[in-house]
Amino acid sequence: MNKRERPLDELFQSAKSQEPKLSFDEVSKRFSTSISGGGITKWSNGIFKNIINKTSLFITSTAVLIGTTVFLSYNTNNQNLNKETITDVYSDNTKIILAQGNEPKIELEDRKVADQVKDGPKEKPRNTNDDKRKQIDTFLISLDTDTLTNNMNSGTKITFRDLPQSFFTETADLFEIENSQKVEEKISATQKSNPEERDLILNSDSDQSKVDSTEKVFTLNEYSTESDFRRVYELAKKAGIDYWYRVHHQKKRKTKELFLVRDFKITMSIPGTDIASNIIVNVAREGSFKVKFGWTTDYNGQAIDLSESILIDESK
Amino acid sequence: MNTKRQKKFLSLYKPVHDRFERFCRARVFGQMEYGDLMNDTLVIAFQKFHELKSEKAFLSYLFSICLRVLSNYNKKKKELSYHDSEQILNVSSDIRTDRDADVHLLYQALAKLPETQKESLILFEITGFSIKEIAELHDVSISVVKQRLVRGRKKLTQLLNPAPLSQLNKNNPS
Repeated sequence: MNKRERPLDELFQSAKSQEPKLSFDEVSKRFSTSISGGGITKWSNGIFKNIINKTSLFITSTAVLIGTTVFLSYNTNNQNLNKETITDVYSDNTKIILAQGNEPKIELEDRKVADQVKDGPKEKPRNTNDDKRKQIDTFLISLDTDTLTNNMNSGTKITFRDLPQSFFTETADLFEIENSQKVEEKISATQKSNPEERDLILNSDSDQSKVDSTEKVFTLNEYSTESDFRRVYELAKKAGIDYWYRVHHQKKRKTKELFLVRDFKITMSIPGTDIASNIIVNVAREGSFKVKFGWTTDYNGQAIDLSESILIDESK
Repeated sequence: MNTKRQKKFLSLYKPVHDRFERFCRARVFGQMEYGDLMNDTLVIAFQKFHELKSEKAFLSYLFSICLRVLSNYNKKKKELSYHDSEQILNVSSDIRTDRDADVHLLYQALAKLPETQKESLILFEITGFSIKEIAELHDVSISVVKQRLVRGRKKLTQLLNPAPLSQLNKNNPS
């Protein structure tokens, strides 16, 4: 008779009457050893090995995570300590003073700064006992001469943050000079004639650096989008121009991805003057065109004139 | 003090050893070393021995701890899966008589049943627990245990008596 065809009860009976593979003595001996030996060490092949391994893994990973977090937060705090915002710049004939309100933070010898700027980044900073002075020295040495000049010429605000990232050291990247209307920094005229003699001159009342006028020119064509027209409108309003425009695009077609400009009209005028300009463009079907127009602004960004060189190039 | 307690514990365990050993062997067949399960259960049972109120309840006390250990084991089943092949080989090497072969086949079939059905069948058929006791151990109603036993036996019969080839050919003409 096949074993698989035997009745189930008979199989169960066989299992029930089978002699134990592990005797009581064996089990009790192992049990006694486990109890006396602390238990856990004897379960190396059992369930608890895995539990212990997992627990230790969890504890280790948690400790590492906490350690990393503490380390990172400590470093961040240290960086925060180095941040300073310079709100005022004062100077006399010998020194530049960077200050926070009325509290002087850093003093620089004018001549020293000038020398360092002149000699460029190859020169190492002079040894000083003052850490802050050392920091700003290093920063200025690494600063590109043209960049410094441009920033100083720009007038009311010098923001070192705007400079290339490579110029920054850990301690110098957040020096910011604001509210510098009290001081106007200019590069002296000697810079133009002889670079060796250039120097920083403070409290100058020279207007040479001010830009008299700027011409803004825009070009529109059949591919110009509504946002292009809108951008010009916003810039015109910013320049104080009475600006009005209307634009029609060609009808939407399923086969066309772009909706070409069909016609548009722009009217510009400068309030308080008789300066005005009208641009009207009608485009033939699928035609192309190019319109250049613009205006001139003064140093305050206000329009003083409309561009006379309006160019309309229409072709089919 | 500890030795005395240990002796007392073992004296209570000795009468139930055979049943407990059979249960553990059948229950974790092909899953893990049943000796480990036995030892783990005994150690925990000894540590909590003071909680045992009546010596008469030692059997159910021991089995309830064993079921909890097994429950924890099942949660970590994936990590322990490497034991399977070793265990099956070891069991196969224990076959010496026809009875051993029969029991081996039975355990193999039991191992394929769902956990609850397998456990109920082993407790009822091999270990000799009553349906009421099984219901208490599993914390379910008697009817649930009965249902598990019926379904378990049905599946077990199917596993041990596969359909004849002629019947299979009828169902699958291709």
